[in-house]
Amino acid sequence: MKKIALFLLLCGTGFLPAFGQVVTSEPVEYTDPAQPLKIIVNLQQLDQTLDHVLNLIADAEAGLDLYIWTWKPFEFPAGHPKANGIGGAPWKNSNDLLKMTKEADYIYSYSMTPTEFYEVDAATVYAEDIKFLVKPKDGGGYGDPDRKSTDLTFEVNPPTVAKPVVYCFPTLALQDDIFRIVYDNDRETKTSMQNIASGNCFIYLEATLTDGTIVKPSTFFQVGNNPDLEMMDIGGGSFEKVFIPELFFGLQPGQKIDILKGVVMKKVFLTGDDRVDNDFILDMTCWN
Amino acid sequence: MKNYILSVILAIAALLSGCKPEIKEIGPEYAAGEGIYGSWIISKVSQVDLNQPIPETRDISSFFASDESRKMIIRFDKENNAYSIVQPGLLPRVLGTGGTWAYDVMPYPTAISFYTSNGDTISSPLANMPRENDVHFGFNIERSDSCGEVYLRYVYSFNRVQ
Repeated sequence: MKKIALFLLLCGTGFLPAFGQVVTSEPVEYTDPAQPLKIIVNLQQLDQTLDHVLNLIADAEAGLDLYIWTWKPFEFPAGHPKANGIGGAPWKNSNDLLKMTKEADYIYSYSMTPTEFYEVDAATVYAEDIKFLVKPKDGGGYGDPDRKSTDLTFEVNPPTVAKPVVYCFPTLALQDDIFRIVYDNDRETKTSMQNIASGNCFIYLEATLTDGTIVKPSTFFQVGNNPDLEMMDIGGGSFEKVFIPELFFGLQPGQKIDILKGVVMKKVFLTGDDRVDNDFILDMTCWN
Repeated sequence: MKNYILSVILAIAALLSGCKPEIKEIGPEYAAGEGIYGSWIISKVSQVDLNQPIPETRDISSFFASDESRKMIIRFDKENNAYSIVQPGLLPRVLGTGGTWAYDVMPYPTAISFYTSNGDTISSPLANMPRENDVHFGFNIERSDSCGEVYLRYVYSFNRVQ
């Protein structure tokens, strides 16, 4: 019963992810270094066979404040307002700006927006990740025993860049933007749709408007008879359809698209073998 | 013989001096930005997808190349600093049908503001400060969705309509 209560408590406080791993984050899936990030460190997951780690945990148990000490993606030089430490013995005098927040026993956090904090671009954060350690204000040294965590890394990676077989560009658009849907036939895994010939690639398009009306230039079985629905061969095994949604669907002033749907198919559609497996769906909530 | 050679040399020298170009007086420099007046037709358009962590750019000029009616033509007038969309083409109608315009700073503008006739203000970084002898001109337009996020940049390049 106690375990269940503890589990619920942890879920409620949001610290469940901190268990099992030394470093976690909020949000858990973090891919944009220009967005706020909370780095969470669980001291109990550190290697407690190390004296300097045991010293750090003892300091935390004694109620001392803990600080991050960071050197990647960028380390500010001595004297800079964001330098890790102050004065002639910086390791013994951490910068108050880097003080961590105690979230629970043994669990500490530091919040930042990486591109702003480190004053670097997103690409640098992706390349270097965030490297840091945790220490009390006085990290020892200079003849005293060290008091610190091991070196820690919080990896920041871009979202998966692999595009699906059918994708769009740009990834977000207003209905009067020039918009393209691309079919990467070279990466098609469905055998019956592989090596599709130029002139044989079409797309069924359908717009669901905010008032629930569905607008489509052709029915599913008439797509191959509508030249406006042909996807152009752009080489490299790819086909594309470029259009401006509000013109393509002949929308009247005030009409707004809610959902755009596309299904890539062959000119002659007879069975499910003649179309891709997954519909292209674009939620255009922000288009309205 | 010597006189003959001398005569030939003198004749060549006279010919060469006759070919020397006449140096005219160099006039005043073309002022930056002063060449914007007149009509411009779109020649190249790129989209920059700002919704991706590392923005991706694609040239969409081929969308216009097949049909002149798809190309936007914009005209800038000196009088009242008016602009008009002579031909909207197949581009977002963010500039409306016309309005007024102004550079941000003179004499070296870096951006142009469009004040559309329906009350919108669009500020666009310039690709260049067109001088009277320039035949190319460009500016960027960024678009925001209704959630307020800037998601897309159009990079417009124009040729002067002669």
